[in-house]
Amino acid sequence: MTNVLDVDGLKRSFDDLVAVGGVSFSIEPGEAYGLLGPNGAGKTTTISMVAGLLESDAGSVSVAGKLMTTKSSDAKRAIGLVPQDLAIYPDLTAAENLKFFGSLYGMRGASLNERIMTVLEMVGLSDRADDRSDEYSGGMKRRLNIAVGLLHEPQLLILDEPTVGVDPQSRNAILESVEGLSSRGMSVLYTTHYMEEAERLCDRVGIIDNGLLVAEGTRRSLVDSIGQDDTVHVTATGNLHHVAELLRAVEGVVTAAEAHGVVSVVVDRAAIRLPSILATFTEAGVSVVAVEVSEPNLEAVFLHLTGKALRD
Amino acid sequence: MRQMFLIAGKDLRLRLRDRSVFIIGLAAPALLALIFTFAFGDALDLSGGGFSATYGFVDLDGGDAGAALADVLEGLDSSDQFEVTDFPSASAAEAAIEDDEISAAFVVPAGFSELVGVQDTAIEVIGNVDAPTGSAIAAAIAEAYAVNVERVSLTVGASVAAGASPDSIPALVQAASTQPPLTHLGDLNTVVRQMDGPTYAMAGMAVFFLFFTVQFGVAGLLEERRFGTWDRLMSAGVSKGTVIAAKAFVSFVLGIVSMAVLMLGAAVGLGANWGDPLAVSALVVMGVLAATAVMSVVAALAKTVEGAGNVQSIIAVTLGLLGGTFVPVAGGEGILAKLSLLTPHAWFMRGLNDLAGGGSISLVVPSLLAIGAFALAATLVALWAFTREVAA
Amino acid sequence: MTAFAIARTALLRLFRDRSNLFFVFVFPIALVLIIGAQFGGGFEPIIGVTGVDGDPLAGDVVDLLDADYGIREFDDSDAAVLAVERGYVSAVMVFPDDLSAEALAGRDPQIGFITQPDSSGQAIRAAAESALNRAIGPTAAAVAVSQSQGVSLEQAELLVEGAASAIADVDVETRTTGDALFADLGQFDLGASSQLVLFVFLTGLVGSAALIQSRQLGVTRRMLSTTASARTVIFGEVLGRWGVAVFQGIYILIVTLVAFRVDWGDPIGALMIVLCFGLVGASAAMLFGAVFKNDQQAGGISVVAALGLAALGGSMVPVEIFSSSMQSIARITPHYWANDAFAELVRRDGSVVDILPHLGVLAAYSIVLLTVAIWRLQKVITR
Repeated sequence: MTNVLDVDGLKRSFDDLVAVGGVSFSIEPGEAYGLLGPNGAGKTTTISMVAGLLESDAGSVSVAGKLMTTKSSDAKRAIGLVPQDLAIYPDLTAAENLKFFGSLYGMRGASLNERIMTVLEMVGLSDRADDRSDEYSGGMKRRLNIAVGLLHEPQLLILDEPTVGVDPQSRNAILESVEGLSSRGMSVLYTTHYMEEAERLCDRVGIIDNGLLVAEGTRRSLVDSIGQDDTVHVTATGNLHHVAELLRAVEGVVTAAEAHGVVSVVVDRAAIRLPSILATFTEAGVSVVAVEVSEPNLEAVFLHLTGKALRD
Repeated sequence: MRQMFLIAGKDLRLRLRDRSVFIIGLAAPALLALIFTFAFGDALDLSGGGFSATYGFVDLDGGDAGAALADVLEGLDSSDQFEVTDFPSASAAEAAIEDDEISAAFVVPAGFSELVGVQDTAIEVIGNVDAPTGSAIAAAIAEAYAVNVERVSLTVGASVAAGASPDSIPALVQAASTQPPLTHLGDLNTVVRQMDGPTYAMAGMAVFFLFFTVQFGVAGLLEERRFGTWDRLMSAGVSKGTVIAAKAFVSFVLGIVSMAVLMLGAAVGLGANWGDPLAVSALVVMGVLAATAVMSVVAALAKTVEGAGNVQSIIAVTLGLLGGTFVPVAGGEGILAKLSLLTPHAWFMRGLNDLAGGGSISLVVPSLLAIGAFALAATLVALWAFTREVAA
Repeated sequence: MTAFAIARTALLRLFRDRSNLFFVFVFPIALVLIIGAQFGGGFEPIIGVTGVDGDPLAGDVVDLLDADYGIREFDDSDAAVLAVERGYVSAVMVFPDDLSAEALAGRDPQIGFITQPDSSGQAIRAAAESALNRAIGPTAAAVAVSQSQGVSLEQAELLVEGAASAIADVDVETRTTGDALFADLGQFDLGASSQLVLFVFLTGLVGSAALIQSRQLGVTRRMLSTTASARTVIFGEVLGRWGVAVFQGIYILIVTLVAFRVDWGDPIGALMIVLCFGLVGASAAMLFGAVFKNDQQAGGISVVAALGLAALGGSMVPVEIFSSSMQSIARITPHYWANDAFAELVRRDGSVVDILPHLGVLAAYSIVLLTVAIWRLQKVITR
């Protein structure tokens, strides 16, 4: 069976800046694939090349066996892009927006209207179809944004950080929509810098940093790959950057990084190492506010692989 | 008062940071006025120095009558504005017209002198479609000549009927031909109460765009609401009136600054002569007040920034057009001329036109009163709209 | 066709904003109406007169002038003079109270006269003089006969009347090269065709703001992720703007034809000009849309550019009265070619064949503008 998506050795630079430095991955039919990485890791550049919006410097993208370039309409028919920004006309109704984008795919007449009703049903906007989209709540606009991407029954739905800057309620609505689609067999490419989203939605996750795919696999296999290491989150006030540096020299500590007043420490066994970790804080003259120990997760994997915290 | 200036100061800083106010308030009117001046400079030149025409003359007659017309044209030729060239045939003159070398040609038909008075005859004027004024003047000159020829014939004919001897006819013709006209047009003394071309263009564009420029102030009311900062201001104990006053003040400052820069710029750069500074300043201040007031009405009634912008544009364009900022409108007789006098623009332009002929502030009192009445009426409506909103 | 879907949506969005209805449909007609009313419907200059009441000679003068000019009577000479000073009327003739009596007495009545000191003032002065001469001719002849032949003035008047019926007329025949009517001053002023040219371009050009909005909303990017190519997307946007511009042009043609009886010459030719010139406007909008980033600023600059080009290209004042150097500059603007094409149709009674060069120039403008716009847009949106 052909893969829905094959990305092979994709590269792209902007002037001197290497945004994507050779990325390869594949998505099987029905699979939900997450591209996880911090802001500026190269996620949007990768997505732009996958969606045929940007020429690559090297490498190839094929969607359902068809080569994707900025000009290949066959490959583009197979994808549905849900951009990060809303990309709908605020002064048109939901139905008008859908009709417009549908006709860009050459859809028309009764079949287009039927399809519009179907996708509106899927995202739960049927009763608001004829309202202007600038009258919608934030969550409804997001759902309409997804509906546009589903309209032409693509084989692969691409969502580019759909939850950035969204309130928790809307965010949940988006995640539920994607989960629903995924469970109905839709192949999904999902980029995010939220570890929880990738864990919740994706069958497989690729971890991207500095334009390179540093690890790939199911959640389980990724977590296993860093062994049974625990992660200790220490909330504290003071020079945390310095503390993180000191911690890396502590026995049993795999790596440590600070972000937003929290020092995350990957450690072989938290129960044994906790006293020496806390001692390091005290020695550095930093007062600890809270300590939390968590099971291995993708965030720990990222920290382990890059020595950086995932959060922005 | 301090709060008002604080809010106004914040708004002014925001406006200056956004380049739009410079485009609308300064660049657009200045650029358009410059283009108008350079494109129509000659056409709008009220000194009349720009006009000149070259005529062709074709004498197929060779007799006295043709020579008399030639004399008339000779007289024209000696003036600076006209030049007359002889052509051998009508077709040669026509060719010269086609090539735009001459504006019109006079053709005296063969045998004209003999036929005058005996048989209906005509002088032909061939006009150039592309030189309507020159052609119209040529037609009028020929007409005046034909009238003169007819008068001579009439005089001679009536004299003969009165019993004059045939021998005396040449003398009669001579006397009638040289008789001075019984009436003539005497030039009246007059001052010009019109700005010259560049000045008019700048004044028109400045006041036209003024109504867009002041939007940047009062539209801030709707912006505060959109950003949610309105509630914050209210909760900080700032009164509604203070906020409104601050926005109106911003409009006023932007309006005055743009008018001042444009008019002073025109005085320096285009040699515009505005007239008595005090009177001009009074007109400008009154005009800016009127613009601020009318745009406040819209800001008070509108719900969104975009909605207000659209309505304000329509009002600014309609008033500007009707008020004669592009083409003078107030001078007509019809309903439009009466409507025109309902706009502050028309009175502003009239005031500046009046000042162009000299005179002090007393000359523009009617204009000031008219603009003031407009400003007052709009202010009252705006205040009503603002209070109504409080009740709602 | 995918481009049509894009065009249709552009139109839908344009007219969803009701204020655009005003600017596209109401405003141009209002302007034609205002300019038409200002120049007396027939675009004729107005001569103000005072002291006509009951005086036969003055009445004759006014009747003669009435054929070519608008006449407005004033109650007193001060008001009339003020009207000229303000430019409300083109000239004023102040007749003395006893014009006829003075003329009959062989005296030399003075008729006060002022015009605007511009070029049309010269034409009005010449016309006023010839009307005056024609009206006063028989009286002048009678005075001369009475003096030279020693008959009474009443007798001389009868003799002149008798001679007039016997003597043949001397006329002035006027014609112009080309088949247009002899130029009346009307074509001097802003005509409906120049308004059409101004607005079709303006409407096209302000579309640049919509294009920038599409980009800001991210919709353009999304369109490119569909099967529509960048070229199709741009053509669709052009088509939308072109559609509005052409629709507006045809609308102005029809309304002015029906309501104001404006002569447009060959209808096919007029339509071709609207089509070609509308495309120039729409193409220019694409270029602006590709170059600018802020939709509000692009909107403002579009209005200024459209008005400025219209002024330079002879849509506000005919190029014929520009200085020769300005006339050369005018030829750079597409407006000049559209205006000249209309002049060819209306004033020189041309056909489509006669305006082919103009249409060619306009098409060339569109091609150049579109090529640059597409090149630039592709760079901007697939950046």
